Amino acid sequence: MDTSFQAKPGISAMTLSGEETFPFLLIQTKLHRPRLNRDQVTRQHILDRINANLCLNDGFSRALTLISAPAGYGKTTLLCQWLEDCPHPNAWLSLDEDDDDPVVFLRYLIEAIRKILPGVCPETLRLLAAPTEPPLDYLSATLINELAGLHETPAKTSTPVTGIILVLDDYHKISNSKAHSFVDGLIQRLPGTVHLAIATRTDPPLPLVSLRAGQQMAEVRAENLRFTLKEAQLYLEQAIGAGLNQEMVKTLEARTEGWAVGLRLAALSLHGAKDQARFIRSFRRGGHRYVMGYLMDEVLTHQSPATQEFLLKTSILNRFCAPLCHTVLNGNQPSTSDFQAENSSQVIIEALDRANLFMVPLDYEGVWYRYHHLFRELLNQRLLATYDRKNITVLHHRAGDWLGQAGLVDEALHHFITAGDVPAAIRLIETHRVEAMNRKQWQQVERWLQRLPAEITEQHPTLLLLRVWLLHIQFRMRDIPPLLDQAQTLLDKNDAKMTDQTQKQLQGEIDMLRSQISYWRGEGQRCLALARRSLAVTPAEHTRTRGLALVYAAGGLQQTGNIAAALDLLRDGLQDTNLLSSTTTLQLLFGQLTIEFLAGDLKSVTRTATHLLDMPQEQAGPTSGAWKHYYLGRTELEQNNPVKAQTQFTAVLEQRYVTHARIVQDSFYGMAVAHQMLGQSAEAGEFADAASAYAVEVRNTRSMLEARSFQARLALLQGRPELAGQWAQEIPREIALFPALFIEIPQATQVKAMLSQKTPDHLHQAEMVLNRLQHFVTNTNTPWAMIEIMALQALLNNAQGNREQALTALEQAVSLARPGGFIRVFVELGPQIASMLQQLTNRGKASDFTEQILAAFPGSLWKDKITADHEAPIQNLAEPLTQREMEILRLLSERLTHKEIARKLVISPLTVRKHTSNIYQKLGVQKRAAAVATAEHLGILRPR
Amino acid sequence: MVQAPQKLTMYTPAIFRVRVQGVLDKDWGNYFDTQAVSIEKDTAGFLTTVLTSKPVDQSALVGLVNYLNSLGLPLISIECLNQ
Repeated sequence: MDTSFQAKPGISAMTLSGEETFPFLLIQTKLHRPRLNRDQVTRQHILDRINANLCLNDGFSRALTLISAPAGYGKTTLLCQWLEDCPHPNAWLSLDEDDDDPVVFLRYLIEAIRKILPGVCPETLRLLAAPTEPPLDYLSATLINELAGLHETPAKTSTPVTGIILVLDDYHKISNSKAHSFVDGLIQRLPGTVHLAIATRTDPPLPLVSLRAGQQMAEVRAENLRFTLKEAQLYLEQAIGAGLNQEMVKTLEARTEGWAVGLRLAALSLHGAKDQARFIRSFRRGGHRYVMGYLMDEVLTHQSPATQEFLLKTSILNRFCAPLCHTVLNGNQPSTSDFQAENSSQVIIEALDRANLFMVPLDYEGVWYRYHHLFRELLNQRLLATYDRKNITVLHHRAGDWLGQAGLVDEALHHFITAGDVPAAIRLIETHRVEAMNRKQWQQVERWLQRLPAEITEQHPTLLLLRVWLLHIQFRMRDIPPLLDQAQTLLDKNDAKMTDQTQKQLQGEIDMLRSQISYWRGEGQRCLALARRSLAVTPAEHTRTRGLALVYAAGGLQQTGNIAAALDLLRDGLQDTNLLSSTTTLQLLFGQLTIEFLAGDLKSVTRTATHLLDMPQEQAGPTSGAWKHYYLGRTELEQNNPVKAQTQFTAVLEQRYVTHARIVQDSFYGMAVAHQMLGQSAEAGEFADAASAYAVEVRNTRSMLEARSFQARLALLQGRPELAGQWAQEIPREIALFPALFIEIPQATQVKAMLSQKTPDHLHQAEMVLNRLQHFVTNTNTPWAMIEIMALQALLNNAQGNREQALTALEQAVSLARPGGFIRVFVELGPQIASMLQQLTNRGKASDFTEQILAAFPGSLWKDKITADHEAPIQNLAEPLTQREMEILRLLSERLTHKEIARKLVISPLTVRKHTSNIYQKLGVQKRAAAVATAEHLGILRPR
Repeated sequence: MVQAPQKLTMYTPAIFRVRVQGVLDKDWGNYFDTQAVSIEKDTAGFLTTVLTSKPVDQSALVGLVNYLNSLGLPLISIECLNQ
């Protein structure tokens, strides 16, 4: 194979999209509008009809143009002709079966739009990169929002966008009802500045009746597309010259029923026919298939045997370029010498292109082509009839080899699996998996696995391990150990005959994943040993595993009491340029933040988080913001700044579908605690409920139990100890001790609930639980949690009548809290702590920090600090209003009409309506009055 | 609405009667143009839905059949009422 030539099409056909963490490779040729063939007849009357229906006047007059006609009627050609002279920027997407997955579909749709408006729809794109698929409604709402905003904030374009056209060609390839309902929703709420054009062989399951009735759709159907006699004549003259008389044209038009592809085939046949009149006479009555079959025979017989073979054999390919065709036809025979030879693939392709033989060029360089779909189907039928299965399998095999080497993994997998060669498919995945993992292309990995039967992925260590990785990124820790055991057994048996090196690498991954489990079980020694073992065998280029192994090695060091060594390890890692990528940088910084927080060093947390903020996003990765806000929120919360904490947690929650589920869960708790600190019990309760609902949404059983624990904690704070007591008796034993990293520590809540009951029996239970917790926290070395434990010991001792021990414990707590400035923990434990602190002061054992804590205690439980550090109104919405929406909400409250608002903000009334409906949706209301009232109630709007 | 007999082509609009087993309960009315829908019991006592289309071409007809298929309703028959 001529490798120098091969490299080029591989790259031009498939380039990595700009940002590193996107989960897909995009096939760029799907986004090119096909080049028009030279022998076209301009279908002016149809174009006029489309354009007449598409006047752009403060938004397009219609949302949709539907071109619905059977194969070969010239739908794609018509679209190309239309867009050629269309004044509006237009984006093109040729759909195929893979786009059935709504996420893939949407990913391509945005990439298509970005071809004309670079950098737009960043939010939707971020959602698509999330490790788990966000709800489709949310995706569609986000996309619509961003599309609606296009003309207001022309991203990187100098002129504002007045209207764009999105083309979806081959829409009949979509069969997934989820994808259809996505498009349905899109059409229903499409901003006036966007027009959708759909070409399809059959009517799509979209609400066409209501679109027709509401004059929201223009239609072009087979009846419009069929060639009139005049057009047929024009076309045939162009194609074969003026040799045909009127009668002959009439016969052809009648026989083909004005069917574009039939006329094309007829022209091709006539071109080579010696006796045109005889050919036309022999062209008898029959249906399309008959016409097609007859004409195909004619066309094929005019081709040389080499070209015939080429056409049949390459019909297995979705798209092709010369080197790929060469490989499919000849296998690995070198071609350098006969590259320009008469029958080389390159020469044949050029000849076919010149002859207009149903080739659709897919790029402007003349490298990639596809066949006209109908033509390919017929060629493929003929291939199956001409060659035996064995021969065809060989072709698929060769195609898979070439595509795999060019990095077109999905297409290669398709051919290998069609050829029934599972081992080749597995080898291909093995070759590409590390890069996919490093680039966080998890959805792609999931698709690869889905192409293979489950019984195969369960029996192969590499594939099984990929399944574990998918669980790992979804943080489904409970499901991991059994699969890891299974993977270990398979690896030890080595039925797959892997090399030593591969075995070692896989062992490194298993060790890293086991190290992670050990960390969460609080087994620091084991965690450290496993992580080190993993680092010893994992090669440098496997950055994903190495980065995580480093983090867990640091975690192991932290749990075994070497916090300084842990931080050094991470800082060294951050200096190691081999490791640096957005994924690993983020992992290491996340490790650093976590350990600094656990150590109670809030100053360092703030510094590291700020550093993360200053890093360019390409380096830190798109989800880094959420981590930064999360740890800043935790810091503000501990330092008793509830309003500032809310700002940070709100920023995390804004990214709830993009970022890690664990910090989203925690941010709901953070919001609830902050509200409670501000004396806003109802809001606190709402966020606690939201935390429970979220745990259910992400199907995490531990989080569900933890959220109930948090509800009990809130009940205590709100003076409902019975509820908490009931919970403390029943639930906590199901919750295992867990390294104290997060806001809610169920065992601490259990102790508080027991203490609130005050019977000797309860106190005894509290003591047992607290001692167990203290033991665990000591063993896992999380100093920040020790502050609360010592404060709880003080309360317990006090309740047991051991005054002196109580004060000693509290003194210890204060001295632990002092370096980081932890205050919230004392205030949350209530007035009893305040009076003990007062006693410490009276004994002269207080510092200025004790004063600070005492000053934070409110007269009531927690004083209303809302005006203290208050800048902007705080929003209590799960999905906060944007700045623009706030602006419009304010104007709505002033009773302005949509038109007046539009004039005031210099946007279209349509956009105002769009924003308004978003506002209503976010506030959960139907009407303006209710929106204003709700917003005032939530404190988003100042009451008039 | 019945037209004079004519040759059916891929583009000629025609009226079709489509019969499926089971009952359509979705808001299909927005998805497909019909002039009549009835629910009947077949000889074996099963409920069938009979849709009579407005004049539609082949792409629309196949679209309807695909749609019914995606709803999980087994197709019993399609008749062209023009002939």
